[in-house]
Order: sequence, then structure tokens, then C-alpha cells
Amino acid sequence: MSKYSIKIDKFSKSFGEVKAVKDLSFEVNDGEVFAFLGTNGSGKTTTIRCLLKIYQADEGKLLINGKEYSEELNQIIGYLPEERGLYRDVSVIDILTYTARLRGIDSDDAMKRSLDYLDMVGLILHKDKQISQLSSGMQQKVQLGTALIHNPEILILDEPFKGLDPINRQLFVDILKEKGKKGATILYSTHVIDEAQKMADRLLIIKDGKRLEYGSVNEVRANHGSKSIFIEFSGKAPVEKNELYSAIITNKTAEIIPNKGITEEKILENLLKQEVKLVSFRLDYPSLNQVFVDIMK
Amino acid sequence: MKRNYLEVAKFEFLKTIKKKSFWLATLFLPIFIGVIGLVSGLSSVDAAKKMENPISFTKVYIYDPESVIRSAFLIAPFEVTQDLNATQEVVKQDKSTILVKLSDNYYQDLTFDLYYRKDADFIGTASMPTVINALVKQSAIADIQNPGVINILNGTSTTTSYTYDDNGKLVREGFEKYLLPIASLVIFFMAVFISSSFLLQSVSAEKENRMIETILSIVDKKSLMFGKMIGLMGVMFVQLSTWLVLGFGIYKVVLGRFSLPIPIDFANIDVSLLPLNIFLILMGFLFFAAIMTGTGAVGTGAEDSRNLSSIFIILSIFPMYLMQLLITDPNGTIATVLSYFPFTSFMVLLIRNSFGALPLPELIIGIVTSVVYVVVAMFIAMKLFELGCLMYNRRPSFKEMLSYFKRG
Repeated sequence: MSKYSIKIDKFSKSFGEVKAVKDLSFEVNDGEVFAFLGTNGSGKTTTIRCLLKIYQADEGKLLINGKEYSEELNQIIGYLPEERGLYRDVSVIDILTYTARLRGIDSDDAMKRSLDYLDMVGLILHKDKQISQLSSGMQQKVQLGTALIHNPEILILDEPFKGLDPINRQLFVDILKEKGKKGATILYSTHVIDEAQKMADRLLIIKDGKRLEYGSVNEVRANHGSKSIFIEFSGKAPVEKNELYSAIITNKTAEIIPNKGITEEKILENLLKQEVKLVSFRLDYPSLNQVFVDIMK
Repeated sequence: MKRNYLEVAKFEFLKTIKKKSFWLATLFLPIFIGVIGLVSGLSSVDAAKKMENPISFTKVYIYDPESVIRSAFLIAPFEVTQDLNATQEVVKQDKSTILVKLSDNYYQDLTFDLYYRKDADFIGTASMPTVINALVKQSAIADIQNPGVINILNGTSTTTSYTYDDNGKLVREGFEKYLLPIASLVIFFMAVFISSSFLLQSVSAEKENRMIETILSIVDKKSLMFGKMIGLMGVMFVQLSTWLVLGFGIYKVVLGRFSLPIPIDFANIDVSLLPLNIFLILMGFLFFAAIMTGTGAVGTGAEDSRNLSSIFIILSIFPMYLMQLLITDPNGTIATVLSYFPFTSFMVLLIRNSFGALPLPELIIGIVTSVVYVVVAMFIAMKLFELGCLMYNRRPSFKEMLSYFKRG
């Protein structure tokens, strides 16, 4: 058994004249939750599609459990594509059993798993409805079901939170956390950086097909600038930018990024001078969101 | 896992035949054709009735200087006239009248002229030559004394053909001779244009609703494509079986309940045509299924793919326009050339074989080229499917297709 569930080594892919991914390497360890971050068009989807042989890589190795992807690996991989959709004129239960059967699960077991999943996500009463009769949130649940129906060891999710309402988003997060706890390896691409900071063990940030940051969440944050000051306040908010710092302010919290050579004591003094009523004051590395924004500039 | 294409086939098959629209189309099509046939038949009967009594004129003036037409036949609205100029004046004013002027030398030149207003009844004027010819013929026959000769002149001989088969057995030729060729053509038409369109619909809809990427993460592109083809071939068999059962049922009901004489001697059907006809139908289906798959993958959606496919459908139905020529001259240059053009070859070979006009060397070349066309079409379809199935909202350019083919 490989130490890595997924290993990508010196992978490149072009579309005509456009180099989508350039010499990309990273590994996803067994049982870890791995976030794959990047802006639109940065090469995330191309990498995932090449990993699953939906596209052919131009160069490099893309391995899952030490092997190139083949149909045999379908039984241990669950995939949620970015471009989502379901047969509109097929019933919920038929879609789930079909994807289970394609993964080599026998008919009875496929039916049982489908019903269990629908029960878990609250769609059991809709099992015989056609997809076109469901709301988009319900369709998203069915879509996730097609990736989870065979209880895969490895989950590859391309923008899993895209288009989800807060309730479904939380449901997805809970399901993924549960899978992670049970030892599944999860590779997911996302724009939701806050969620990645909370969920991911390690991450990769790519831009224009090139690797920019790679490591554990804290490593990436620590690698990227000095510590930030996180405050909670009541009443008047601090100024967003002055000669000592720049701040990201959201409602009654703020992340304050000190300018070079400025100590946290000076920042504290300055805040008090501004008559900001501090509820809490904490030193930490810049948030993943801040790191992402900085390196994408 | 290697049998995934069978799962795809089963799913595609069930997905299609579970649809109400499929059964509506399957059951409605024969009814639709029947209704069109009925309407067409009724209108023909109506037209024929009208032609039986075409004299819508209040007066038909006959100017007959040689007295060719017997006066006994000239009852109203026919009226003999001697004054040509005065009659022409009447006709000029009254659109319900017509003047028939037989030639002064009719027995030699057999000509007559018609005079009527421009706005006179169309059917009446168009049928007048037939009426006058009948009157002239009846007048001539009335002079003949021999009843046998009269019978010959009034009637038409009927023919019965007898043919010797390869074993020297004498067989009475009948309608059965055309049964298999017609059935083969109908089945070919249905297989190509209806069943392969299911494939176009399936591929383009899967691309349009974005389900294709989920499926491609589980099965490879070849399994998906061939699975679809097998599944929809099954749909074609269900459809054909339904029509066959319906047709046979209707035949039995008509024969039994209404005692209508529809004599079909099934023993006289030439089943030797069957193997090649089945082969050509199957090859034709696979060829057009491949074309439709490629088109479905290249189009941006269902509508775009349908528009693209119409080019190939027009090419493939081209032989229908030349049907008369193909039947009357099945070994002519046009028939031979079209036998080897990919889009027309299957139908033309089928027609030529059905009418026993396919020489052995051409038959062998036809079989070989059919297989080659299917293999090439499958290869191109596979490549287009690989290239286009994940291209959302745009078609691959011709340059992209070429460079993809070059890469192999």
C-alpha cells in the first residue's frame, strides 16, 4: 500500500497553445483532507480530470494508490465534478442504483445503499420522483450521493460547495467531516477559503497552472508573512489602514496585518488611541483567506 | 467492471422504453401513417369520383364537321354547333360553357381544339380531352360488329406471372415478391432515422445536462459510447417488434373479421434476401449511430446537434428521391456510384439486393466497403466523442478536430 493515496509528479497539460498546468507535483496522504485552491482557470479541474483519465495528461505521472487511474479503481473513488448535472427524466432511485451498479455493486446492495443514503439526506420520500421535479438543493444531494454510494476510500470533489445554500453547505461539510473521520482520503478544490482553513489538513494553492503554496494549513500561513492580530471589538471599528497596519474588518472582528517592523504592542497602543473597545486580542498567522488574496494579487 | 458497457446498455434501454413519449411515438407513428394513408386514399377516391363526372359545364358545344362522334352520344350538356363564330362569342361571355372544335380532317390528324374562358372550371377543362377521346372511341367501336373485337377494345388484359426457382419449381408471382424488399426498406428507414436519433438525443442531452462527466469518471468513453449503441439497438428491436406485432395483428383482424381478401402466400416470400438485408440494416444502423454519436458530442446541446445531424440525414435519404431510377435501372451508373458512397451505400445496396440486381462481385465489394465505412465511422465518432463530450457551450473547431485526429 502506498503512503500516498494520490501522487502527482511533474504533470503538465496544454490545450492547443494554452498551457493549463505546468510541471505540477504534490501528494495527498492516506486519510487526509486535502484542499486544492486556486482561482478560476488556474488548472484545478484540468488536474482532477487528468487524474481520473477524463483528459489525457501531456507529461508526468498521476497515480492513485500507486497506479494510474483505471476502471478497477472506480470501486474506491468517489468523484463530484465541477460541471454537475443529472439525467432530468430519470428517477432519483434509478440514478443512484445505476451509478452503484456501474461500480460493480450488485442490484440488491445498490438498492439498499441508495435507500440508506436518501434516508440520511432526507430525500427518501422523493425516491421515485424524476430529477426535474426536485429543487436544485435536492438535486445537489442526489449528485453527492452518486459520489458516495459505494462508500469510497478516496473522494475527489471539484468545487463541492459551489451553488449550495448554507443549509446544504453545512450538510455537505458534515458528511465530508464524517467521511474524513472514518479514514477516507478527501481531495477537494474550492473557492471557499474559510472552509478550507477549518477542514483541510494540508493544501495546495496553484495559479496559472503553477504551484505557489503547498503544505499544512499552518505551514502555509506561517510561510506567508508575520503573525496577524485578530481582535474582537465593540462600538467603534478601527481604521482599515494607517502607517502601522492594514486590516480586514468584518462586523465586530478584524484581522490586523502589521507593516514590516511594527510590533504588536505598538498596534495595541494605536488601537487604544483610536478608542477601539477591545473584547479580545489574539496573535496568529495570517488567515488562509489573507494568504490566498496576497498571493493571487 | 469490464462489463460496464452492458450496464450502460441496460440503463439506456430501460431509460428510453420507460418514457411515455417513446410509446406514444411508437404507437402513434403507425396510426399517423395510417391516418395519412386514409386521408390520401379518401382524397384520391374523391378526386376519382370528381373525374368520373367531370362535366361541370352547363354546355359543351361540339363542332364536328366530319361527324366523328355519333349524335346518339351527344346528350346534355353536349350540343352540336355549326356556327363556330357565334359559339365562340357565347363561350367568351360565359365561363360555364366550352367549345370543342374537332379538326376538319379529324380522321387523319386526330386533333381537336378547346375554347373556354380563363376562369372556367379547372377540373372540367383538364378532363375534357379524356371525355372527348372516350366519346370518339365509343363512336368508333359502335361501328364494329365483332363482339370479341369490341371486348378487346373496351377492356385491358390481365397478367399472371409464373417463375421457376433455382430448383426448377414453378412459383406463381404475386404481391409477396415485394413484401420483403418493402419491409427491409421500412425497417432500414426506421432503424436509421428513428433509432439512431435516440442516440443523438442521448449523447447531446447527457452533455447538455452535464451528467456525462459523472459517468465518465466511472466508465471509460468507449464503454459509454458502445453501451449506448447496444442499448439503443435494443430499443430499435422493441420498436420494430411492436410494429411487426401490430401489423400482423391488423392483418389477422382484417383477414378474419372483415373477410377482406388480402392474399399473402408466405411460402412465396424469397427469404434468401434476408441475410444480406439484415446485414445491411445492421451496418446502416451502426454507421448512422456512429455519425449521430459524433454529432451529439460535437454539438453544444440537443438543438445544435439536431441541426448538425440534418446534413447527414439529407445525404442519407437522397436515394429515396431516386427510388424509381434505382428500381428501373438497378445496375446503371447512378445506382453503382451510390452503392459505394458512404451515406447512400447501405440503402442503395439494400434496394439493389432486394430486386435481385446485385452481381456477386459487387455484392462482395459492397459487404467489404460497408464494414470499412462502419469501422471508419466508429473511429471518427470515438475521437469526436473524446474531444467534444466535455466541451461545454462550444463546438470544437475543425482545426482542433484535425489536430486531435493526428495525435491518434
